[in-house]
Amino acid sequence: MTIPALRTEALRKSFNGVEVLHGIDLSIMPGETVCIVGASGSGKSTFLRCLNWLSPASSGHVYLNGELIGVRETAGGSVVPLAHKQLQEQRQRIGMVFQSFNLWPHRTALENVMEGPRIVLNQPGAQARATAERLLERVGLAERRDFYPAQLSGGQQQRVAIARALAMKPEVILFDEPTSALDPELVGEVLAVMKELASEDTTMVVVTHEIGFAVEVADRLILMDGGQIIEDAPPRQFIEAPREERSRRFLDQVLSRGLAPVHTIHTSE
Amino acid sequence: MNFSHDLMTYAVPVLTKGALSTLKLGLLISVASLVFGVILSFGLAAPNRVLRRLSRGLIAAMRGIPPLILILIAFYVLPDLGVMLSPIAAGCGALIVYFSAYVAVAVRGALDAVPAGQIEAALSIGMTSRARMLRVIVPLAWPILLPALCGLLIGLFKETALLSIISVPELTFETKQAVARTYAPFEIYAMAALLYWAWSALLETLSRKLEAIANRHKNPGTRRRQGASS
Repeated sequence: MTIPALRTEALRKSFNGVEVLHGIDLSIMPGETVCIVGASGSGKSTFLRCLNWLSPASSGHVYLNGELIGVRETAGGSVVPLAHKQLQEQRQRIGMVFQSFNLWPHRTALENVMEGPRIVLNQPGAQARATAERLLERVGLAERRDFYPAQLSGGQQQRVAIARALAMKPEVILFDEPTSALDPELVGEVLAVMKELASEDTTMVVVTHEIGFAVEVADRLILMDGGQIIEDAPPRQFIEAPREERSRRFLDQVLSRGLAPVHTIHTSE
Repeated sequence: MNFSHDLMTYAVPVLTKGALSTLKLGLLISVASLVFGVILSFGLAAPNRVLRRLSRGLIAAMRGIPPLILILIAFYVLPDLGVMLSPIAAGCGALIVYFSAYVAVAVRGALDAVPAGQIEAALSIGMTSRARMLRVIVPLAWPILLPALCGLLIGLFKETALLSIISVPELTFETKQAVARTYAPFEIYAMAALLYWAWSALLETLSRKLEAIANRHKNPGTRRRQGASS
């Protein structure tokens, strides 16, 4: 039996006494692309941020390839927070792509991608540079490597951010609404890169509003509402025969806007 | 009495000496205030509550007390408590404590102004807290801090004039001496004013250069590196 790349167990999260995640159990297998959809405030971004402990869960567990994330079990059987250094070692193995890109503005595209291998993994400069150049080429930005983020479009910045996450060779990559901050005409180039990653069996968890992308690329489509998982099914099944009434309502809402196909998109600039 | 003769042979060397002394004192107080200010800024965010309260209290006091009063306390009151300080030590000490508080507030503000997303990006690739500070927080806080800091340090140079009250031989003190000796207040005060202004202008230029360097990534069009078109 394969161990899930990522698994949550009764994951709960409260902010100031208000519970926003009500015990989530989810397993993501290696190579799987899981898209999480849902209305704003459904808890999907919070859930994603619990997975790499950017937002520590209030209770419950996250396992990365079987290893407990963010906490450890003491000999006495109680669970205590992990020392910061160990937590940072775990985070190296979980990539994250943010809605607002969060590229470091004082570093060029290449430097942004090199930063992890250079500073975190202590790779020699030449090796880190070679990796970064290869990854920038892969996201179609080899020619922009010496540009600062301010000189790049949103779509280009997000592709650099994806390369930055890939540079750490993570076991799983989390995408937090990666196209929500983009102008509509720039969404496609980012989705195309993600689609390619998915086709190469990268383990991905994608919180998104791009239902068309989710249907086309995801192995599983998950609907969250009110801090719970409502539906968890392969996209076709999700769309054609959702089990839950709430899923049907959600689909009616988003499908009335139309499904934007992604397959016409090209990566090149 | 020969005015121009007196001015040239007496006042100019005395004022030059004073100006150099002001420069030295200003530098000394600046460097020390920077060091203590940075330490104090970490006190403001210390995990320890007592430390945090102490830092905040000290800063509140410094913001509420005129620097002249601090100098007078350091020189005239501390001896009663058994702390005998030379005029220079008392005066510089008072100004260092005073400006450290302002530096601390500026540093804290700049550190807190670094967008959370920048730090989250560093966390998400697994950077240690040290790398985060050196590679992300400090480089991003620096351009925010710089204008405030330069303003403070220029102000500090001018405030060293207060040290004349306890006879520290800096520019204002020497100026007053020279006026008393030559009876040429107009020429001498004008010279002193110009000398202060010269130091300020120099610092102003320097700070503008530093700011341009710190902000170069924000308008990189002027500094596109080689290879950008390769």
